Amino acid sequence: MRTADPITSHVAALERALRGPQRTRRGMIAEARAGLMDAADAYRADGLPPEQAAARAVRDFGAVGEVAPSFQDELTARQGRHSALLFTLVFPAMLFGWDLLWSSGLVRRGFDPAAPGLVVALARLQDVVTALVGLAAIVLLVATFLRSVPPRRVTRAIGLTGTAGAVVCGGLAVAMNVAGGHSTAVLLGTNMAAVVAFAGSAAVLALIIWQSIRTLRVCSDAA
Amino acid sequence: MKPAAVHGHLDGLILAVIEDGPLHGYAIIEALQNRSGGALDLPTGTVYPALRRLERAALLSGSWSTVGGRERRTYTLTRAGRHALATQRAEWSEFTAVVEAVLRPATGTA
Repeated sequence: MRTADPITSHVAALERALRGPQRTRRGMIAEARAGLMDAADAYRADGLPPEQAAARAVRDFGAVGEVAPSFQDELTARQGRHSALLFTLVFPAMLFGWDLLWSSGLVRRGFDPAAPGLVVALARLQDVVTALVGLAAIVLLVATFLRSVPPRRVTRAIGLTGTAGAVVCGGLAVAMNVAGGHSTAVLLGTNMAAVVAFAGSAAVLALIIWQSIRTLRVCSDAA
Repeated sequence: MKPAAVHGHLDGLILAVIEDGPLHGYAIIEALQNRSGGALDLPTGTVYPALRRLERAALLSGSWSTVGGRERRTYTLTRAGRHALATQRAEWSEFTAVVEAVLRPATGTA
């Protein structure tokens, strides 16, 4: 049986050591493989036999343990940037989406008269929290462009921001509907637009939490 | 020159070799070795993540193309990259001038 050539096995070992966005990871690995093949070609052109040329190229490249941390730093940074971009878009989208829905008249408020003040206060708090999380996501997105900021630190901050934002916004939404009394049940039972809006918001919050967990996992795997 | 000595300067060195025109990863490694007279002794595998770091900072733009029948990622210096290179050159000149002034054996009257 023929053993794998040094370039193939080295690249495979490097790929196994890396975590992060699949497309970027594959691109970086393909680029490293092409570079190793170029280096082996150059050694062959200098007269080395193919096996030796490939082994020299691999030796020049560096051991997996030596180079993988720099590859991982970039993948961690890219994961952070993808998540920050998503949060920059979806938190303000939720804020404006609900505002649009209320102002359009498609969904009419029907708060329990016993607790309108509390519901309104919670709704205002929800708006403030959503705006602050969106703002934090923009700042962190900008930070992913800075080479001086450690990628793992900024990516972890992005994952924590997404998690905290989704949990707080989700919690406030539940609290608002509990404080609103029977009006939410009436709304959901009589208004299809409200059902779609509630389901859409829940799906967006689930997406944010899923993306945050992925982001935090890349940071912890890279540690 | 050992990798530790190059650490912190690799980004600037890469920007400098791409200044004259777009290059792919291995061509950049060759250019670094040729322009240093073979004195740069760093694992070539550290150059690829450095290219991605520079691209992430918008100092380089990268695109896939087929060169010599092989898929390669080619990098071009952006306007921000040219500006960063000019800044790095100015800072390096200032730094070397200061260090040289201090290291130079003192001459003068006793």
